Amino acid sequence: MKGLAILAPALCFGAQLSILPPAIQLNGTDATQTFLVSYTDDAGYEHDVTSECVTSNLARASMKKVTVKCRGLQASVPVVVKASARPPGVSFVNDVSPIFTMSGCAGANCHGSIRGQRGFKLSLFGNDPKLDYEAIMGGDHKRVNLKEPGKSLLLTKPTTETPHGGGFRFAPDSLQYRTLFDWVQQGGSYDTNDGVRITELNVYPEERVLLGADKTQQLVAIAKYSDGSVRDVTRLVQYSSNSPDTVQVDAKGMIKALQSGETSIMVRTMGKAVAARILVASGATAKDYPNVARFNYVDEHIFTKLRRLNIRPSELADDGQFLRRAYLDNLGLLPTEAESRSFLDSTDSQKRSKLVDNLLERREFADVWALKFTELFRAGTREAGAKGARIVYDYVRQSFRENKPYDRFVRELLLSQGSHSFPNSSIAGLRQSPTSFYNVSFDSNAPDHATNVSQLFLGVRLECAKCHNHPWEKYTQDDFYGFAAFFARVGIKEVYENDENATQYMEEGVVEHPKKKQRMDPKFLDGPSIKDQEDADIREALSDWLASPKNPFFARTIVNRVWKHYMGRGFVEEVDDFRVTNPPTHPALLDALAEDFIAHKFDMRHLIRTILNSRAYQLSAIPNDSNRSEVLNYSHFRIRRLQAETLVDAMSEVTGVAEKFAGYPLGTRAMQVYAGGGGYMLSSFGRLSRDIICERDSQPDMAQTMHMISGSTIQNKVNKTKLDLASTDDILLDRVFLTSLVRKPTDAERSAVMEKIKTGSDRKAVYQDLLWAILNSKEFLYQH
Amino acid sequence: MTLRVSLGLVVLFETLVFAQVAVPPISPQVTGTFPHGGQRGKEIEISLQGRNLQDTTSILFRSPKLQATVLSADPYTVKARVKIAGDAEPGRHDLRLIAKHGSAIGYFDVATFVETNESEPNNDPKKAEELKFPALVNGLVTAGDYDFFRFTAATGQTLTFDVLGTRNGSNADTAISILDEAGEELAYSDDYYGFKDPRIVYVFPKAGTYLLRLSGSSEAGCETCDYRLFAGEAPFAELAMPAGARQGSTVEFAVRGFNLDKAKEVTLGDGLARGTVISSKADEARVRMVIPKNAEPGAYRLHVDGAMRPAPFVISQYNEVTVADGRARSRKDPVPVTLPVVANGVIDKPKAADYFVLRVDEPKRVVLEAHAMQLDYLTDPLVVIYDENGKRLAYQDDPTTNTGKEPANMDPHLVFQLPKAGRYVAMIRDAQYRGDPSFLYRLTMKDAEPDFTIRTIGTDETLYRGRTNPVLVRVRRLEGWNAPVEVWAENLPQGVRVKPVIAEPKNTPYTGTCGETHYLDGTNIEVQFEVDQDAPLSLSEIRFRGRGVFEGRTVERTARARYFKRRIRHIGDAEEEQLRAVVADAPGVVLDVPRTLTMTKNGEASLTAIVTRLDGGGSPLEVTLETAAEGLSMQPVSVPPASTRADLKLRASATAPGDFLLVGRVNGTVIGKSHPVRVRRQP
Repeated sequence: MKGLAILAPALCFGAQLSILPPAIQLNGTDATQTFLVSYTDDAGYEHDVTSECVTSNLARASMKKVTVKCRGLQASVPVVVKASARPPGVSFVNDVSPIFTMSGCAGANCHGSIRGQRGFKLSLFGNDPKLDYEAIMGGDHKRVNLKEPGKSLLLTKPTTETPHGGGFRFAPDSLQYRTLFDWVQQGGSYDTNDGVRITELNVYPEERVLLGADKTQQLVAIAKYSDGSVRDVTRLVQYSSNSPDTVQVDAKGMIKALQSGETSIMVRTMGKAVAARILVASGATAKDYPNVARFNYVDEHIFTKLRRLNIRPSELADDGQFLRRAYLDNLGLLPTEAESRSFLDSTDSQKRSKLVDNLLERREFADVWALKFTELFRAGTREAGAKGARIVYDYVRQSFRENKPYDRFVRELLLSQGSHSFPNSSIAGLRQSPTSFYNVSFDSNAPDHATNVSQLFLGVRLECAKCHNHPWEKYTQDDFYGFAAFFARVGIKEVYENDENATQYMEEGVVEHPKKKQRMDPKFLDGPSIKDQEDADIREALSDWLASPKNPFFARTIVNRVWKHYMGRGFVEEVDDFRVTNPPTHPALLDALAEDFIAHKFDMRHLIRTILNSRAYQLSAIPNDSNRSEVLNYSHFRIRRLQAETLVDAMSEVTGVAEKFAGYPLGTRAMQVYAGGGGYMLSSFGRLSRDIICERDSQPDMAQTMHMISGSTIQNKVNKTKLDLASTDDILLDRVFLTSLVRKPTDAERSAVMEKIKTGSDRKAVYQDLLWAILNSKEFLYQH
Repeated sequence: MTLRVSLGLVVLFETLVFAQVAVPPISPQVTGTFPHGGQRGKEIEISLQGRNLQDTTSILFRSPKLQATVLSADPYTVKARVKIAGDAEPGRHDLRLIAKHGSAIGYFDVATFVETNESEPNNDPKKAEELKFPALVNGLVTAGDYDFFRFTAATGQTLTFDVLGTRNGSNADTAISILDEAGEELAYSDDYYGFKDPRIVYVFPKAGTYLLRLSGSSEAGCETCDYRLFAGEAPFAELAMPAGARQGSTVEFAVRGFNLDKAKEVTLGDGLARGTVISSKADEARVRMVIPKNAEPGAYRLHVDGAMRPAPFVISQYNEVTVADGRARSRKDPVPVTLPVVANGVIDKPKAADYFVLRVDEPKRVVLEAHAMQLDYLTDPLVVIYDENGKRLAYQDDPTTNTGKEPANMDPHLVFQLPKAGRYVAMIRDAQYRGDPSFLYRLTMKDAEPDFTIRTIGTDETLYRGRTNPVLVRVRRLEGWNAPVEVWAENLPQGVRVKPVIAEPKNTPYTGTCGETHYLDGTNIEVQFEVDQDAPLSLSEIRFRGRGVFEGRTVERTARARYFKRRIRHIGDAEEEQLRAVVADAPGVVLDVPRTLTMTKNGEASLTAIVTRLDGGGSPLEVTLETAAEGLSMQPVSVPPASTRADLKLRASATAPGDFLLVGRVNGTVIGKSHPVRVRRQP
């Protein structure tokens, strides 16, 4: 609820003055600290008024607090002054190294790249100052001139006094130049106390709504060090905007709004990164802003934020749109004619929520999620083959049919072992054991499992740390290989004479750090190491930790995935890439859904029901003037092309012509094609090859268009469509429209068809043409 | 003098070249049998498909209760009549096809139920065949083929649907589903047995009409992919517990499975012993049986009312204990045993393990040997020895891993030197911590008595005249044997000589699919059979024997023949103990051709023949056509000596189908002919 709390008081209280950071610590008598003064107006918007304010107590060394006065208001912030334990002079680690990051030298496309640049290699974003020091001082090409510091390459290159491929980085009169010069002049030595490192980086304000373009806001960055000291690093960090078209930021941390929207400002130094979330509202508060009814707590978050951004949400979708949407999202199917008529004719005020309850009980609901997870787990690729895919698919499907708590589901996956080819129905003791979960690729190993599990269930992409310390996140190679050590004993072996494999938790197995060449103990992400026990399955401990309600990653990751499935966009995109530098759009709602999910014992149907019953899900896809270009805040239903399987199954439903998939009996729906492949149409509409873990791309392309115009799938279905030509045209037309678009034809549509029939065209051919046209319409092809 | 030396060198050179060329399989190969079994008491006609089946003279069974008569034979098909005695033992029997140029082994299943053959088209629910229980249907499943069967079930009825395919030597990897009348899948099985065959035991919640759908897994199939589908309510035995007994003992055991309340007759092996059913209920029948004193130790089949799947039952020389009631589940309170002993148990729950405590009065070498997969159970056992403080001293999972390339052994055989007198705990569990009421094991715990076994890798060999023919033999060292074993062959045909070979006490390494090194569970040796050019053509049973000395004790053993898994899809001892070898002539050339060729009238077709020269290959080979088919022609092709293929163009001026074969000549002399190729004509 943190994010909502940030937004909510602004709406509830009158004008006030506040200071950031909320407390000031000064280390040493020469220490300084920038602070910000914010004025909150009656509407709840905050304004940077630092330059307008009068400050008292600034010059007194014994001060306990700083007080500011502004616009008739007053605010104070406590101040603590501590002695500095640092040796005097310029520190390489804390003063010099950060300059490489803030000046862009240590970036991935410059000297921080894997091979460096022109023989000069720095650690990526300053995560290894010792390596940087050795790069500057070592070898035959020292980059410092201790006798004449001003002639050091370290200074002449960035100022372009010496030609520099990276161009001009800072001027001779800059703070950066002065710091580097002083460091060279004092002897160019490495810190005697190498252990003092930044442990935490904070930026203020963490979130701010700027009311309209041209509004500005200063950012303040504060670093905490391992010796307990605190330092203002506002001028020592690198700033960058995730959306420079929306908000720009300069090297001093001053941001400026350019247009309505939302972005994050990244603040980086010394291998640390934080983000400030900046929202730009569209001008002044609208006086005629509608009072939007909220169906549940999801709407509180969504519409509160929209209100702050002055974006009006779209209207509620009509019953037909909602019915079609709910069927396609939950079942991958269209409602039948009878189901449509029943729902549309119903006057029950609770019919939407009743429909949701009904859909979540349908068998097809489990098929949708079974395919999604089977694909995420990349089941059926390589060794496991179609048999392995079927086991995983059946396992997930059964789990959803019985609404197995998600924590138990994941726990079972993590602890799975046994043959990859035995279907769960065969052996009671192995019932529903998704044994090929670990057999993604032919040479799946512990690092692969660590990468997959962290990405799938924790939303953390660890693979960078496999080769080097992660540039922005806290995870190091030690963390990666420590996490991988949980899977050290997960092996693959062929058991039976059926050419298929089994996963086995072996009696022995180790993971070795590739650089340190040392055996790693299993280590939780952000947690301690534990010892592997001879007779125990260390994955038990892993699953206890991973699927714990206390795990900050676990619930939020699945909530984000589910949210994306229904709302078209995750709070975090990509859905499995949670990191400081990729913050969620609605952190408070994400947390609230996660907390609710945990409180309901990881009940997937409860989570889905909560989303489906929200007004946010039920909004129309038709935008208004206020939200037409809005894409992040769910102000209207996000239209998207139907998923490949849904599209093929819907075409089969509408035409009555089933699709035959190679390797599956006739009557198998595309949503039930559990292994890879499935034919050209499915692959051209985004069915994944399962080589990597990723979500579907729902973007349309030319191949899809051509296939819908003249491909074999549509030709076959339209030509063989089963039409009851004995029915009247009124009945037939209603049926065709209801089964495909979940609405009756408009008068214009009805007239156009009747005109064709009256002019003597072949009646069957007219209906086939109509079907072709409908199947090619955006109204059919898109979820809306 | 000079001339004679030169000739000798030429001969030597020719021999070296000759010896380097491996002979392609020109001995008979059976790839399909239909039907792949029959009902006892009946006489049926079977068809065997394969290659090199011409000149098949006889088909032999080990059991005299099965007799076969060859009706016809061509290179691809043998038709035979099989007479099955009314008291033939149900289950798998080895069938050996014998031709002039070699022999081949196959399986033949004897059942007790009335059999029918599926009749196509039945690939649509509307065309489903009616199943009348108990049903045994012989069928074929081709690529994309579905076989539907319709049946009715009563409320609460338990029906078994069991497919015998790969376990019976078939190429069919099948899958089955039970569908309700609306087509909704109620149950599905792809691989149930360790050899890909599916099985469903289903309790029908309501009475009605249902469908059984059978197909190749992922719609795979072939012309020789046969299956035998059992369906019905007949007793179905899963296992016997204990799964064995000591010679001469009277044992009471439980047969577990389905529909056993109807069980009446329990027979061990081919009438070795008969049991009395003491009590029975649906999932268990209690049986009392007297094991004959003179019964040979080893695995037998236990038949319950002629059920499709007999349960294994082992006769041993040791005391046996049964812990299937769960009393061995506690590591803190293990079951005490006195060596030697065989423990019978079931790992019935995931993560379960059984513990036994053994006390020794002095340091000694002991062996823990598990039997599970060798008895066709799905348990993959792992054994561990702990000291009395709970410290793990040793463990074993698989004596040799399964790579699909070489016969594996997944049942542990752990030999360990207990370092001092005291208490030790032995543990057995499933290697993957699985558990199921069918996960049976037998764990033999005894003092190690070093020994070895000898097995041939295969059941038949063709020995070519004038050549040296290698035959693979594996020596497996048991219970700590660590000394060389000398292996030789006996009962050799006239004109055949073999030198003894020493199997060193080192497991043979081999390379896996990914280049990794694996080790066999034993030592492979090649025994070289030198066959004189004028050795008489013959068929004989060759006996291998081995002798070794270890710790002052001389041990001599006779080899048994073992199936080569690729040919028979099974690892294990063949019914016939000895290897059958045919002395035959290798042709001068082998022309390997496809079985059929499709041609249009007045059209051309390309054909590639794989050429293997066994004549020394010094001169070009002329390949010509030999046919009686009207309008079929081919320009002769000259194949250079070093070439291994002949690219041929055939022309058809008529539409009538016909056969042709290729003839290989060197300097005008025929040195070999291909098998016939059947021309299919398209108008």
